[in-house]
Amino acid sequence: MPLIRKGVTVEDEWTTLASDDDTIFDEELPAGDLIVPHRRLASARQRKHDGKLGVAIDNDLDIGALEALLGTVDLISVPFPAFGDGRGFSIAKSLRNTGFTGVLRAHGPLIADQAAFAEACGFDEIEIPDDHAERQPVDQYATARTAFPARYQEAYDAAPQTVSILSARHTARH
Amino acid sequence: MYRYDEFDESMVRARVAEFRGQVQRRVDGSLTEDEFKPLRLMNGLYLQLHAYMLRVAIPYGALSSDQMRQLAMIAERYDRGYGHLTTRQNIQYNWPKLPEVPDILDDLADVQMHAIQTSGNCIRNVTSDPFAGVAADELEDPRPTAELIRQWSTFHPEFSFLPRKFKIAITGSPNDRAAVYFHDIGLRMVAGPDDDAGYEVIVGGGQGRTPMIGKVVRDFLPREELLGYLEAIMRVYNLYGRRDNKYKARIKILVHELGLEAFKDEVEAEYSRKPDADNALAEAELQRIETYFAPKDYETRPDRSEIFEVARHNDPAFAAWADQNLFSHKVEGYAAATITIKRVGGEPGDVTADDMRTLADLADRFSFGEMRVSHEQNIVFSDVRKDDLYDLWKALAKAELGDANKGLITDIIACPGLDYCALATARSIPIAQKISTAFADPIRQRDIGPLSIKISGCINACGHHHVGHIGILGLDKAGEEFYQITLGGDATETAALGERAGPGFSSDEVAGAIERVVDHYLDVRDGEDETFLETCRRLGPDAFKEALYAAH
Ligand code: SF4
Repeated sequence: MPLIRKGVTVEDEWTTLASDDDTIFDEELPAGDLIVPHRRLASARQRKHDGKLGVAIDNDLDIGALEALLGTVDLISVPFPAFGDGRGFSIAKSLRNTGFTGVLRAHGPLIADQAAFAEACGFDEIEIPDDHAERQPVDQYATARTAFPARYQEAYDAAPQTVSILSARHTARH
Repeated sequence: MYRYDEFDESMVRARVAEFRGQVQRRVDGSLTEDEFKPLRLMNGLYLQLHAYMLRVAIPYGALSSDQMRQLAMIAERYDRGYGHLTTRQNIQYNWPKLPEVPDILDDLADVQMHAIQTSGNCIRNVTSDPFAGVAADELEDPRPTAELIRQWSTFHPEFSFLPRKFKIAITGSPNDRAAVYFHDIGLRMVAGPDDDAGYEVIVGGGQGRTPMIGKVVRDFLPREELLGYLEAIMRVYNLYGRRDNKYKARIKILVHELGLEAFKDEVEAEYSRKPDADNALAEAELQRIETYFAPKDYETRPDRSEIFEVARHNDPAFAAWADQNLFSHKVEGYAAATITIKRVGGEPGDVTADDMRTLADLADRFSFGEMRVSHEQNIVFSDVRKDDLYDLWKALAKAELGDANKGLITDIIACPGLDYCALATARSIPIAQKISTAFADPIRQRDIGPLSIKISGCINACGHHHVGHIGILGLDKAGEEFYQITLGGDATETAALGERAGPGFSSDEVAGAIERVVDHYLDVRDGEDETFLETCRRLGPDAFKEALYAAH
């Protein structure tokens, strides 16, 4: 599963534990940075572990449940069951609004044209399925993420477009 | 009207380039048809029954004469010489070819137009009152807010893949001509407790298969808080709106299932969570936009025009048009004129390239080079000197655009129906044609008075039949088209859904059935001043049943 950051493929330094992986119930978790399923997060946090902890959530958490993740993990992986299901964008934005400063990962078949949206909503990286990557080479994500020179939305000022049109206009007039 | 600055220009151009690339990636197989579909939809490109259809945005209906000329050029170069005005103040071309669409988008961009977000599960073109900015009954001009929302909703990173489409309408007048109770979000400009400017926010209205009247979620929202609050509503919808069933995915269903109070609580909680940093800039932006909507260079004139009064006295055909198609203007000595695109026996809202050029030339001569498209599928010249009205009408009449039927029974709204639409269960245009032919006599039309007939070719209700005084819904029963009639619908501030009258009619019977209803109304109305809708409210729709099914 290729991992894309700012339009380039990067090595995934995290190990994702599958839902049915019982490693979590061992005395000690395997060393290294781990992404555990949400329902196993509480028990994982009680184990001894040499490395960072991340969580893979479902995409039906409400805002309260998202807030509860604050301060417990260094990475949150947000699923996109289908590219047309944009709920993950609001989940990311909500997490950033509540003050989450760790890594936000989008996980699913997002298409290249959604790369800039994902970053603007607060995602740091996109993990896409292999067959998806075969059809849509990573350079398409690189092209698409800078397709627009700016954006209208204030407070969506993550890279690649750093300044909103509203604030650019405002600066020009003052 | 609003003009693009270099930012708007660069965004629209970037969009055309992006779409060119997407078409290319579809061709080379990078994108599957499933992936390409929402991308083309967000550029206004539908696959219809026989061909692609391109829906071009006319934000809140405002159009310059140069833009109209370009639309005429596009109709001739890429289509079959005409376009179709829609019930959401847009224009559709029914026969473009996919490889040419990026070129059409380029030609549109040349005149500061686009097809962005006219379809797809995103925030659609914002609609408003066709008399915005000039209506004598207006509290405030809604167009700057509409433009602000257009910009804010364009390529929104968070809200471009919503559970379902999302429509916003705004009115600046207490007399609602924008159907704000029938949109996902409706905004009414109102004065606050200290006379400060703001909005009443209505959520969850809509038509389609589950028609609902919108509900007020905020009595008063100060104007500088608008974008932050809209964002809160959108986020609640994007997080909690249903995605398991497309027929239950609109925000009206979420409001309905959560209940109004719980929905309100969610929105207010989300709004209070949000830092309001962007509100300050939005206010500055609104002020910048407002400069584009400063009053026109009106001449100081007496309100009464001798030229107008004399012509009106001498020419009964003009008098009929003046009585029916004019609307009072804020400024003395001026009027707004509706040019109905409802020729008897024609297709509601269809404009030929010649019509478009005639309208453009007349707008240059008589209305500061601007016009509006109304959601009744007509054209409005918003700023005509009363002294010029007679000349305007004569020129219109010469082009067969001078019909005096605004708001009358032949001013029919109809969706494209089975003649074009892949979802249709019945035709709607031929029904409109039959009815308008049956009621062609202008004297009879005037005697009947205000009566809106709205026709949809399936339960998706694009023809807004739920809110027609008389609504007609085309269905399919065992391979035969049949038509259900509803009575008493109302799209204005006295919003109501029409009630079903009873069993449906075949396509040959509909016009006759409507005639019986209308004749009955003429018999039972309480004087000539009682409109069809008022009679219907006084007596109840049931009172019409006997007449409706009399000879049946
Ligand atoms: S109401 Fe139905 S037939 Fe008419 S345009 Fe909409 S989807 Fe098509």
